[in-house]
Amino acid sequence: MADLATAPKNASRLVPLPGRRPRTVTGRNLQVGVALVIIAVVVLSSVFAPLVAPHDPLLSDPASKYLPPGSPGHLLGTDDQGRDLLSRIIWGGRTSLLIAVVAVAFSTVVGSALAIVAGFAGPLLSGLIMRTVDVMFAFPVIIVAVALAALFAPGPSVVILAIAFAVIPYVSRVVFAEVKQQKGQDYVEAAVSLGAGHASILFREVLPNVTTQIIVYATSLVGGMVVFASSLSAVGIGVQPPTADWGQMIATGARVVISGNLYVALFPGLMVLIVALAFNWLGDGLRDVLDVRQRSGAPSRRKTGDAGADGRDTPVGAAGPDGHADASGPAEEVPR
Amino acid sequence: MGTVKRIGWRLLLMLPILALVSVLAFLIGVLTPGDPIEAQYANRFTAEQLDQIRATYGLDLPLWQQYFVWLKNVAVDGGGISIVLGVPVFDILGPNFLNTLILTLGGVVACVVFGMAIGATAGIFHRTWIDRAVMLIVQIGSNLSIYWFGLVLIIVFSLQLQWLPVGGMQSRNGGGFADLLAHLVLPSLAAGLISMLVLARFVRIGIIHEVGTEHFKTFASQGIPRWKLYGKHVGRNILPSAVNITGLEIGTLITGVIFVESVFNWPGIGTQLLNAVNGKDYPVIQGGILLVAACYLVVNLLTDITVDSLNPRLRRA
Repeated sequence: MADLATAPKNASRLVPLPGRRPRTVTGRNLQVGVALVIIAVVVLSSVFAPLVAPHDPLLSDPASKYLPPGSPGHLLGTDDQGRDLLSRIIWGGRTSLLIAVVAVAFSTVVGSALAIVAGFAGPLLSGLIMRTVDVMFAFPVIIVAVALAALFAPGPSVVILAIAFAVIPYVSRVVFAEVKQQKGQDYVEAAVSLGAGHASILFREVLPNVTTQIIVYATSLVGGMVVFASSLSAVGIGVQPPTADWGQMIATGARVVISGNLYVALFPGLMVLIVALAFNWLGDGLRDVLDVRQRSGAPSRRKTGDAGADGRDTPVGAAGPDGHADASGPAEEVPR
Repeated sequence: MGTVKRIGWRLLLMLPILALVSVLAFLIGVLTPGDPIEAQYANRFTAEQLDQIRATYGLDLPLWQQYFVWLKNVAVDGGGISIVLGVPVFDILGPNFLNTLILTLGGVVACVVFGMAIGATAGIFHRTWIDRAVMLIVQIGSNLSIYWFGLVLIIVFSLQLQWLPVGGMQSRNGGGFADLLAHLVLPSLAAGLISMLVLARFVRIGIIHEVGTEHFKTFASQGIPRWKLYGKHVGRNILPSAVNITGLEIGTLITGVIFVESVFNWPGIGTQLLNAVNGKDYPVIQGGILLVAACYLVVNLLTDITVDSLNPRLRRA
């Protein structure tokens, strides 16, 4: 302490500036730890819902409608049909998480496949795929969701396909950039000079080197898709009542908000928020721990001669000076 | 390359997309399981009469002919007749479309105003607790479900504080422009939420980048007041990318608007579309999808033109 006090004035420059403190490994670990605990609790309680849930999520009991949180036997209270909210949230986690994970896994596989094909194909096919992705990108997903709901009946499959439409462009942009970058590496050149064919380069050289990035990216997407799926179910084109699902529960709660029963909608919404944040933190943490540098999948409208002189591009890809781009990749640009 | 030529080129590129959307919209009506005519009229008419009804709707023609009949319907006859309501589709969608446009505009305003403000606050106070606090809020906000956020806004500002109306677009006895604005505040905020936070991140990163540039340091060392620098140099330099991001966010915004319409009972196209999905009213779904997609493409084009005019350097490309 004395040392600090007697230190010359300009020595303060050696002390990290406030706010500049690099996020320490322990800080990151704490964040990842908290995220993992939250995700573990939610996933386990969803998997073992029949054992964990105190009540049947579909069992309505007209005698105990609108019990406030903390009522005996109903920790979080009951909804408009007297169904136990805690049980419905636990069972709802099953539906909500399953939809998000399946949707993201599906889109990741399809998006990666598209990107890898585009990365290895000739300019014509490559251009066709990436232009198609450009068009899908930023197209209002709700239109696609409505069309799907009209084609098939509203349900989980509509949500999964709508999410796929929203997410595939992002995944394929990220993977495409990654594949392109890997293809320029010396080790690929070495493999080519050794006479390796396309398939061999793809499966033995490039793919193993991009899987980590793909998995990290996919993880960071799950949270956002839990949120998006809940909105789709809430407006009635996703999971249908009486199935317990967080989005469905929010919609049910929305109908009784006016009569003063706020918590029916509040709890499932909070669950969505918490789980989404946890997946975000996990994604961020994994990115740091595995030291994955994500090339931005952010769109540029037009190819420009020199990106450097292009005022538009500079902020887009730029990381903050502290090395942590808070516009942390396209993960957070997917619509909710 | 002249401006006109470039815009013409983009217009030309829009056409195949629009054509594709129209084919998809058309197919919705054809591929769906079940016969809407039978569902609607089977209990009242004989098989022969049903065939007649099909003929009036043009449902007895081969598929590609049906497509062109449908296109002509959309272009000339107001999008065909709603199966449920029995009136031309665009007569139903028209007034709702205007309402949706109002809400979308509100969303854009909320997105730009709050997005810029949040981003600028975080960027200017970078490396202080203000930046970190703002960014934490941004992170939480980015993970909110728009539907739920709208609901929370209603609970806080309409039910608890009673500052603003609960939903709908107008008070029961009408109330003019001020009344509309009061009804518009909360839905706009909710609809613009995700987009404004995306914009805020870009503005923040943009400011941090600009402040680190040599020209900024030079100007600052010459004693030019900070606010002047932010306004004249930083602002001018990040404006094109801000406009670009806002344009790209229109798709997200439209999705948000439709979620919000559902929460706030806004009498817009989203509400109409969701009702049509439940009622299997295919002409309305088809018309609505085509309408929204076309609008989205037009807005996209307008953004491009705006970005062009804000950043002359792009014109060489």
